[in-house]
Amino acid sequence: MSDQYLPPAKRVLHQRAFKALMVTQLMTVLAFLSYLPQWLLLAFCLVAFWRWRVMHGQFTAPPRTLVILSMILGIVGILVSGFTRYTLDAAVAFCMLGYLLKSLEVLRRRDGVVQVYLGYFLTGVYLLYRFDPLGALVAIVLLFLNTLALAAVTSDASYRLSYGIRQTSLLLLGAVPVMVAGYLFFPRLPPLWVIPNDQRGAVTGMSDELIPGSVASLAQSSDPAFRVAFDGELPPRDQWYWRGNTLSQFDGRVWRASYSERNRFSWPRNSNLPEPAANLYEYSIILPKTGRKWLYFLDWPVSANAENAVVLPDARLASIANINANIQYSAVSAAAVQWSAQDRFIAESLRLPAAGNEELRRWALDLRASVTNDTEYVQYLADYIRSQDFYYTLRPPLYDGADAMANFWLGGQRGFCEHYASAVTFILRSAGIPARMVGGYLGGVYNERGNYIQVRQMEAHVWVEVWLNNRWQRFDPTAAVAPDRIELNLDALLTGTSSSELPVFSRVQRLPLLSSLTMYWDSITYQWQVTVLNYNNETGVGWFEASFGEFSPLKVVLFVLAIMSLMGLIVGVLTGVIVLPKRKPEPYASISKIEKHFGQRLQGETISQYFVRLSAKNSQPSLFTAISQEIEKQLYSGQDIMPASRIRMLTKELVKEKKRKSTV
Amino acid sequence: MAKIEEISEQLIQITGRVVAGKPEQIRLIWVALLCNGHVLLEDLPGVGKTSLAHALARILGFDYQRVQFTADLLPSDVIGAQIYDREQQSFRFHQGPVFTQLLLADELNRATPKAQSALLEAMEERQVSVDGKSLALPAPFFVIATQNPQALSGTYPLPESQLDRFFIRLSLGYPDAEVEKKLLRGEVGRQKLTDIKPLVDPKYWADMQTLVAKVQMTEPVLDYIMRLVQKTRDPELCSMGLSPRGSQALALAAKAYALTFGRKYVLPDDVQAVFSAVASHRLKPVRSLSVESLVGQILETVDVVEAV
Repeated sequence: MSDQYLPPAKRVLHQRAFKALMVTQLMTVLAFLSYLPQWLLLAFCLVAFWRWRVMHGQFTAPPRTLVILSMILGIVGILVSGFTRYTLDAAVAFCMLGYLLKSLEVLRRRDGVVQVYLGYFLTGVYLLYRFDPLGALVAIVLLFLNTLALAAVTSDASYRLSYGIRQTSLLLLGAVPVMVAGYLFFPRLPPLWVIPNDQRGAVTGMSDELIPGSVASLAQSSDPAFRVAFDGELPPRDQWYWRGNTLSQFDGRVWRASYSERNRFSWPRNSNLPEPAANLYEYSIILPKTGRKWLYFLDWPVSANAENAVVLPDARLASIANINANIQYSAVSAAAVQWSAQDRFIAESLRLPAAGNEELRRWALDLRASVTNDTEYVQYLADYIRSQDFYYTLRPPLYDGADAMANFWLGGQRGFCEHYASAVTFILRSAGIPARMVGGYLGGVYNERGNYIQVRQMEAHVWVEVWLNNRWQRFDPTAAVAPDRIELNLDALLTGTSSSELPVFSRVQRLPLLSSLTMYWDSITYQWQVTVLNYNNETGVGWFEASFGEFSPLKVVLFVLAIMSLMGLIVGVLTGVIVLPKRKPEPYASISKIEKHFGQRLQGETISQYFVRLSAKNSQPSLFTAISQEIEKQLYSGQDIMPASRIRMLTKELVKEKKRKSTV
Repeated sequence: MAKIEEISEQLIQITGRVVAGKPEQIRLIWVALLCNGHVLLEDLPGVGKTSLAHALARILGFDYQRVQFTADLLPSDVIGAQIYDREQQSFRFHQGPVFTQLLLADELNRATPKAQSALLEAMEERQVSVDGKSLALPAPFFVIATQNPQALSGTYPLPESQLDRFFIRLSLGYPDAEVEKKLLRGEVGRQKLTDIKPLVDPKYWADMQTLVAKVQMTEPVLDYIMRLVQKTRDPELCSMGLSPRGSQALALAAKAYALTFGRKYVLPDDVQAVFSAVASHRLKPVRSLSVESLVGQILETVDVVEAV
C-alpha cells in the first residue's frame, strides 16, 4: 500500500477509525439534543449516510458545492429555528453544525484529529448546559469516547478496540492528577467575557412583577428552587416562609416591587435589615442559577453573608449581578423582628389605583365601619374567608379586567394563593390599613439523609404583610382557606383533589419507594453542589493548609508531584512496567517456611527425598510424609483439586510441633 | 489386562528369580520396552545379560532370537539372505535372526562396523532392505544389545551417532555377596527360566504404550527436565550435550517409569531415576570427567524445585 510512505497526518483513515468517529459524533449530538434544534439529528443521519458510503468506497471527498450548499442550508435552518440573536444556544448550534458538516470531508488522519478536537470542545460546552452529577457523567463519557476516537484515528489498520480502550483508560487515568491539581489550585478567575445567556427557560423563580395566575404556573413545576441547610434546629414546619420579593405597588392589574431587578441603580446603598427580636436560626442556602437577582431567606432575615449582595430596606437582599451560576450564602433569620424607618413603605402600602374594583372597595369600607380597630379588621377577614364558601384550587376560573379582584372575592371565590393575597391586600388598603404582598416559597421537603430542606418551584407562594401595632406582620389568607397548605406540603394538601391537577412529579412521589429514591438522588445532588461547585480558592487553600501547613508554591509542586508519582506507580503496576514483590504462591511458601525451620533442601534433592531426610532426623514422620505427598500432588499431579490451605495448615502444625519439642 | 503396576511388580519379581538382586535395572529395561526403545547392556561377560533377555522374552511372550556378534559376522548373518531354491528354480529370502520380537545381540562391539550397522539400521527403521525390497520386522521389535566394556581388546566401539539409537544404556554389575551365594546354592539362576510363563498377552502391548503417553507431566517437571538438559549443554562440563531426541527420550522414560508404579503423573524423582540410563551414553564429558561423575554432578547441582 502506497499509503504507508505518506507522513502519518496524511494517511487515509481505516474503517475502525471511521466507526469510532461516527459513534462519538452520534453520542455528542444525542447529549445536546434537548438543548438544540432536533433537526440536527436528521443532519447527523444524512452525514452518517454519506460517511457510510465513504467507508465502503462509494464516495470520496464531497464536491465543494455540496459542502457549501449544506453549510448554507444549515445556517438557514438555525436561523429558522429561532436563533436570530447571538446567544449561547445559537453559538452552540452553529458549532454543532460545523462539527457535523466537517465530518463530510474527514478522510485523513489530520481531519480526524480536528474532528476529535471539536468533539472535546463540545464536551466542555456541554457543562455550560448541565452541571450536575448526571451532566458530569455524560461529559466523562463524551471525553472517553473522543479519546477513544483519537486513539483509533492515530493508529493504523491493525487497531483493535481492546487496545483503544486500554490506551484511552491509561491516558485519562494519567490525566487525573493534573485534573485534581487544577481543580484544587487553579485560581477561579472571574469570566473575562460573558456568554450571552438565552432567555429561553433560563429565568426561574419569582419575578418582581406578579400578575394573578403566574404563581399557579410555577406550582406545576417540581424543579428544585433552592436547598437550605440549618446549623442548629429547624424552625417549626409552619414557619417555613421563604421570603423572595416584596410587592408593594399595584396598578390595577400588576403588582410590582419597589425595587426592580432591571434597575439596580435605584437601589439604596446603606439600608439595614430589621433587628432580631426572637429566636435566631442560622442556615446556608444553595441557590441554583435563576437568571435573576433575588436571594431567598427565611422570614425574616436579620443578617446575611452573601457575595455581591445588597440589603434592600423592605427586608430582603439582592445580588448586584444576575445569578447565573449556583451560589451559596449563609444567613441568620429571626421569628420576630423590630423595624426602623418604615414610613416610606407605609405610605407606599396604602396606594391604590384611582379606579377599578369599586364593589370591593365599597365592601371594604362597609366592613371598616363595623369593626373598631385594624387588628379586628384583619381578624374579621380571616374569619370571613373561613366562613364563606372559598375554595383553594390550582385551576381557578379566569378573573380578568378592571374588576378582577371584586369578581373573585364577591363572585367566584375560587382561587390560588395569589388571588387571596392580592384581594386581601386590596381590601386592607381600601380600608386604610397598610398592606403589601410578599412573593416567595412556603414549605419544602426535609431530606433526612442530607439534613437539609429542599424547596421546589411548586412551593411558590404569595402572602400578605400588614402594618399592625408598629410592625409588619405576616397575614397569610391561604392559611384561612386551606390551613393544610401551611402545615403540610402542597402535594399532601392536594391529595384529595383530582390528581390530574398535580404536577406529574408530585403524583409520582406518592409512591414510597420512588419518593425515597428521589430524596436519595436529591441528597447526592446537594452534596455535589456543596463539595464540587462551591469549591473556591479559599476552601482550596484552607484545605491545603489544614493538611500540609502554610501554603507555598513549593509545597504545591511537591504535592502535585506526589499525586502524579502515585498515579504513575498505579499505572506502572497495571501495565506491568513495575513489578511489585509478590508473596510466594503455595506450595513454595510452605517449602521456604519448612526450610527455615528444618534446614535447607539440597539443590538436587526432590521433594520426597528432602522430606524423607527430614523425617529421619525429626519426630513426626507421618506429618512429613503427608506434607511431602500434598506438595507433590500440588506441584506435579496437574490436578487443581488440592487446596493450598491444607499444605499451609500441615506446615503450621509441623512448625508448631517443632517449637513445642524444642521448648520441652 | 491387569493393572500396569501389578504387571511391573510381577515382571521384576519373576525376572529376579533368574537375575537376582537387580530390580532397578530390570525396571529400567521394562521402562525402555514400554517406550518401544532398545536397550544396551554394558557388562563383563557372565553377569547374566543373556539370561535376563531370555527371561524377559518368556515373560512377555515374545519370539526370542540370539545373535552372537563376532569379528567375522556378516550382515546377512543377521538379516538373512537370498538363497537359490532348486525345486522352485528361484531365489528365496531366508529370514535371518533379526526377524523376531526380541533380539539379543550379544557382544555387539565385537563385530565389524559393517555388521553392527546392519543391526542398527534395522533397529531404527524397524524394517530391513534386501535387494531393494523392504521387509517389515515383526511388531513389537526390541533389541537388547550387550557390549563388553571398551577397555577390553579386540572390540569395535560403537560411534556416538549409533549409541543414540539405544533408548537406554545400563550395566548390571557384579551381584551382591548374598545374592551370589543364592546363585551358588541354585536358588536363583538360569535353570529357573523353564518355569516362566507369559505374563502379558502381546495384544495389550499397544495399549500399554498409549498409557505411557497419557501420563501427566506438569510444568514444574518440564522445567526441571529443561534445567537438566541445559546443564548438559554447558561447555564447561560436556563437549557434547543432550540432543532434543535425548531430552524427548528423557521425558518419555520418566513417564513410563512413573507408570510402572501406577502413578499417572511424573515426579522429579522419576526423572532422576531414569536420567543416568537415558543420558549417559548420549553425553560426552570434558576430558577431566568420567560420564558417571558428570551425571552425578548434574543431578546434584540442578535445582529440583526452582525458586519462585
